[in-house]
Amino acid sequence: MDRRDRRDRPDRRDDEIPDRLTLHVGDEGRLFERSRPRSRPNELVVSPVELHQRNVQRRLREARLPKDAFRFEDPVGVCLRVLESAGRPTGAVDRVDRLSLIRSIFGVTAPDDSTGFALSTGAPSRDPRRVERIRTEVEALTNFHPERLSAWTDTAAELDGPIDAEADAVLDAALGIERELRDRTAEAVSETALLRRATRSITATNGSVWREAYPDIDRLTLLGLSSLSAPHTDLVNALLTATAVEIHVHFREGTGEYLRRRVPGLLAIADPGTVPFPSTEASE
Amino acid sequence: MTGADRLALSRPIDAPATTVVEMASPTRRDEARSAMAAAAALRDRGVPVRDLAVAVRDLDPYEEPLFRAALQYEVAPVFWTQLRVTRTRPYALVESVCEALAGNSVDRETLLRPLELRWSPATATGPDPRSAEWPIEPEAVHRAAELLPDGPRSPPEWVEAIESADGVDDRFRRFAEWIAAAPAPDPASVASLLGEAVEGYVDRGLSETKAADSPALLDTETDARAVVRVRTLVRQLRHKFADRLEAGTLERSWDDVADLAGVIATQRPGRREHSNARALDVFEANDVWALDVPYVIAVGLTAGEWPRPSQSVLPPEFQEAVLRGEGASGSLAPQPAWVGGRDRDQFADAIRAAGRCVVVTRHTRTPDGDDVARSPLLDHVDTRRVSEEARRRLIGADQELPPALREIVDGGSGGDRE
Repeated sequence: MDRRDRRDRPDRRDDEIPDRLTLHVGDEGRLFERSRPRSRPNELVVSPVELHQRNVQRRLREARLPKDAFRFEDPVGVCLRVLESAGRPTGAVDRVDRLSLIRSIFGVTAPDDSTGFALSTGAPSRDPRRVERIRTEVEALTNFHPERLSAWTDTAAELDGPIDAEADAVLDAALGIERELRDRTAEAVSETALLRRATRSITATNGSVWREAYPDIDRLTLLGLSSLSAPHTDLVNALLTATAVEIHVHFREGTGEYLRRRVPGLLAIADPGTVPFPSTEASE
Repeated sequence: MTGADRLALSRPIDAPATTVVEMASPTRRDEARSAMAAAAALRDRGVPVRDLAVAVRDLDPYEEPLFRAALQYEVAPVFWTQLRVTRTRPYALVESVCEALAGNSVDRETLLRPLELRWSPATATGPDPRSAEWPIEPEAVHRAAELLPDGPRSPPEWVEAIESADGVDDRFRRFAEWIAAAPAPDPASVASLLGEAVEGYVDRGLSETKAADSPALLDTETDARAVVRVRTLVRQLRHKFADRLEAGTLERSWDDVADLAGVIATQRPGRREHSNARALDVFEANDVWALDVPYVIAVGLTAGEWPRPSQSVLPPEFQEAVLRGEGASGSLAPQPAWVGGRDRDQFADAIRAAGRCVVVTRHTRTPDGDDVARSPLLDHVDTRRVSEEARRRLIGADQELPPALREIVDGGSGGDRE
């Protein structure tokens, strides 16, 4: 069976995908078909990897197609614009400062190793880079959404010991460090936190901040993904719920068939962008 | 989601019907030579350089051997990767200035190091009648090192020592006075002093690189990219130094400024560097997505390199449960990279990027002489293998294109896409 047959085969689970969301595996050529002269772009082409945007632009140039219909961005850039138009703060701690904050957290609260984040999987868990890796991995899986955090503990509970405890320890470590970081800075802890802020903003304003930021955009195309992280899913979810924008996601050939089937489950989350941390200030 | 869907991550890859030519070499270094020899031989047979691209899963271990091999076969490569800014001359200059300013006294070598790295006074302060004298020629710096006294001295003592040394010209005094006049580091003085050093380099140092460069101007391009990065670094340094002083985590010392510069410079930025249209593009495999070029040379198809083992901190059993996505775990975002999904994507996209032909290369031995296996990703495609004899003729003096590749270049058939 070739690729095209599989893609077009009716699939029960595809019915659960909202009308304004279309999932593709590869097939980026469709983007080129929509190229046409326009006074203002009406399609936002979003890819997390900057060089992917350049590759698409190079293809357009080589085919002598106009770029006028497209506006190229990465997901963080999109969220910054939304937050700016909403008058919300856009400052975020970068990785250099985050690692230094993590170092200071251990300096202050953990004078001895016993209070570090002990993980049975080994490696010194007070190494700031490792701690940051734990935090970002949990964030990619859950976006710190309460429903997903419960799903995590439920999933862990079904595993044999001591793996169940190990998975829970990773979750606790990530939440602990995220909480500590939030206490130590007035800015967003990371760019991903800005993604959540924009996601909540879109939902809370019933899409008006989005329309203000992108009045001419009626389609968003998300390109070149080898995974669909929880923060990206939740942003898509908020846009589908609160705006009229049409969304196309192009997965890649090696993982796309798998990922597209996971999308309905990932979207089955209420109030995307919610976090279980106390709201310390207006900016959250 | 059912457990069976999970198998979609190990299903055969639907690769387009592009010809795949496989070339195995003994070591990584040999492999890099084979890859660049193939690029050069294709070029010499009339394939324009812009119709070629090299894709490497991870450039870190390959950049240096590929660069050397490229020089050997007279190919000008452009690496689409983050510049290793700490290895560039403008960065070294900034670092050396901090070191010359650090502490109460410095030794002769530390004092003269910025001059070796082409320190020049900034022109922003007004026209300099002696502008042709900067930067100081390397021979003069070398001579001064022999004439000046050994042992650590404070900057004012160095000014005196230079004045009283026979044969050390006035330019050295001017530099030593600049060092002696430097204020204690605060955010503003860090930015202005290091900024001056960078701009002095732009005005005078860069042209030295250009004069000594090869016709393809690769060093000049690297230097120019580095200047852009170091300017940004100096700006960041100002803000971060202010933050750290306020937080009390740094001392007001030039030592700490140098350390902080190192921390900032070694963070990999998310931004990729710029290219040069006439040179051979060398990408990391993730970056060839959506590219369309006739010939792709995919490097590193060796087990353990491509695919690479996952770096996840999660227990494998938990990963597996999330990948299956049954029940509660269906709302957790799975990472296909845990089981090589990202590598599958990159492999498939490297092959898809090629309009006519893909050359895959691999090596068969580790530096310790142990055998390493062929990448399991190659099981997804039919390959035409290049014999060791043909490979030797390719890398040798004649640079003879292996028959499998010659057919494609000459015939044009066999490279049609689906």
